[in-house]
Amino acid sequence: MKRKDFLLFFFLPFVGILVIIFVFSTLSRSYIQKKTEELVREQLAATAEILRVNLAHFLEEGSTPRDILKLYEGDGNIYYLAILDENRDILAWSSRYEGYLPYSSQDAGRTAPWTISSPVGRIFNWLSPFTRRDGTTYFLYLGYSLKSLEEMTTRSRRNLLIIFASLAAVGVVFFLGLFELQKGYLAKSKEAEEARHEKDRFREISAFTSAVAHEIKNPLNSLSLLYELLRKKVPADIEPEVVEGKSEVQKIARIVDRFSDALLPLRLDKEKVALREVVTAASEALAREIPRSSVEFRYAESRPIRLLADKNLLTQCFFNLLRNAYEATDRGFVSVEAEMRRKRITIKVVDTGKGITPDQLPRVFDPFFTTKDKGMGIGLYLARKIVEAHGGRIQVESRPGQGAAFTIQLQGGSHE
Amino acid sequence: MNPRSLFIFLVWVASAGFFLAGQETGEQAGPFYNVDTEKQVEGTIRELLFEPRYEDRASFLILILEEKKSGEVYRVEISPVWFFDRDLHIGESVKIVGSLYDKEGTRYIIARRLQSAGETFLLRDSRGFPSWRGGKMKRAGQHKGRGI
Repeated sequence: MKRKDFLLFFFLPFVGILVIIFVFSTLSRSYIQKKTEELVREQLAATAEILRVNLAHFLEEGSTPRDILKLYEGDGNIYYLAILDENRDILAWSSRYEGYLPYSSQDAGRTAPWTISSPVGRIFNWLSPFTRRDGTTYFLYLGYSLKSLEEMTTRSRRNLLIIFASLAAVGVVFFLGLFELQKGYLAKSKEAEEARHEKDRFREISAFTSAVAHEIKNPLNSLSLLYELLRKKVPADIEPEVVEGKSEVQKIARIVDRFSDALLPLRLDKEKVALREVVTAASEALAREIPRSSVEFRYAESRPIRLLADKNLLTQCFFNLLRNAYEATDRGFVSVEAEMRRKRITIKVVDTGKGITPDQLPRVFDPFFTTKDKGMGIGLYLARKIVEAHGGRIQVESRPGQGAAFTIQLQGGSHE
Repeated sequence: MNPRSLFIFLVWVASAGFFLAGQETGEQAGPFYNVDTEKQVEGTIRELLFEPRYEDRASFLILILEEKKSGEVYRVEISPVWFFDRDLHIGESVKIVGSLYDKEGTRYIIARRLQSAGETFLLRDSRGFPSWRGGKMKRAGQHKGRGI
């Protein structure tokens, strides 16, 4: 799935859900806040009513407005309080804040409560009349803190934002993870698809090559027999040429055999083998074919490693890898280094040869790919086929002029 | 009723009458920041005083200010001493915006804004809430140091 499709099918609906949640939560919160404010107003109205009754009572008892106000100065929620006469002139007042009594002539005509903002939060204001028994009218001006309500509102808003942000963060992480997983899955699917195409192509090539090999081998066998009959009948002075001709025919037959063998599916005959023995056998077999006086061979393993493998095929694999390494190396060394971690064996075949160019690197394991004059391009292909038949992987790293390193990874190793 | 008893009775009646009269008219309301009496005064500082205000809650900086135009003298309440960090000097010109009230023949101003030597100090908000009770004092212009 492309990034655009991912946005359309996953991310946008998620964002839409978030928006719906946010809008719904905000509306709910606004409604609850409105209702709470109404409740608070009712509560404050009741408080003011009690105050008015008390004030009327104290005034009737003969207390001065100033003395009465002092009784209420300790209430933390009452920011300011004033008693006004019937003309709405202030008789006495008290305030928590020096000189702060936000009452003006414009407020004198108010009959309903009002709210003002201040640096210490919103303040509920109410100017309400009360009457003494003798009929004298007074007014109570009250400034009540809405700090608790604001704290509750702020906390509610903060909690909503935290929940929303958490939801968004979790969602983003989840969908990014999903996107990455999907991307990985698609990449693997693509690889698998390419591998399947490659196998199909190879199967076709194999079938074609096998048929060609079969068709070539029959005449070659006949030709070889003819050469043998001819050798017995020709004069002695031309017999060497006949023998050489037979030898060349047999060489062609061997080449055809190698092609055929390389294309046949491998059948493993597994047994417990020591890695050192396999590599040594391959190295010694190669030494009989290629003289390598100027190239040193090294073998290293942390502890002796054993594995379940087809000994002959694995020897063939290392033979091919070592031959490839020696043929590319004029001086220096060819080394095989093996280590094992948690039954996973990693074997590196390293040389100090001419290296592989970047354009050749992806093709070195392809069948019939070679850069040598006399090569057939089967050795490394066969090595990869043997490793993969054992459930392993083989990779190559190289830079031109800096040698090459073939890394084989196999499972099921153990120490002796 | 002997003269002594009559005297005591009269004193008691006079005292009660005075008390009741005071109750009817209401106790003299103390000064608060009344936006209805807001005024701007530009003048020269004649004296700098520290006086307790608001039932001795803090020592306030008071300026005795002579208005330039009329020569009228005002007692200007600035802020608690600890809050105001600008040097003011006798003879310095200042512009004050504040709430005016009279008490015992003296004109008082509770300052809301003070301008001096290119600096403006907002001592209270537009409704008179004191800046020293609600965060930092807002100021604009060049800052010239602390202390009085």
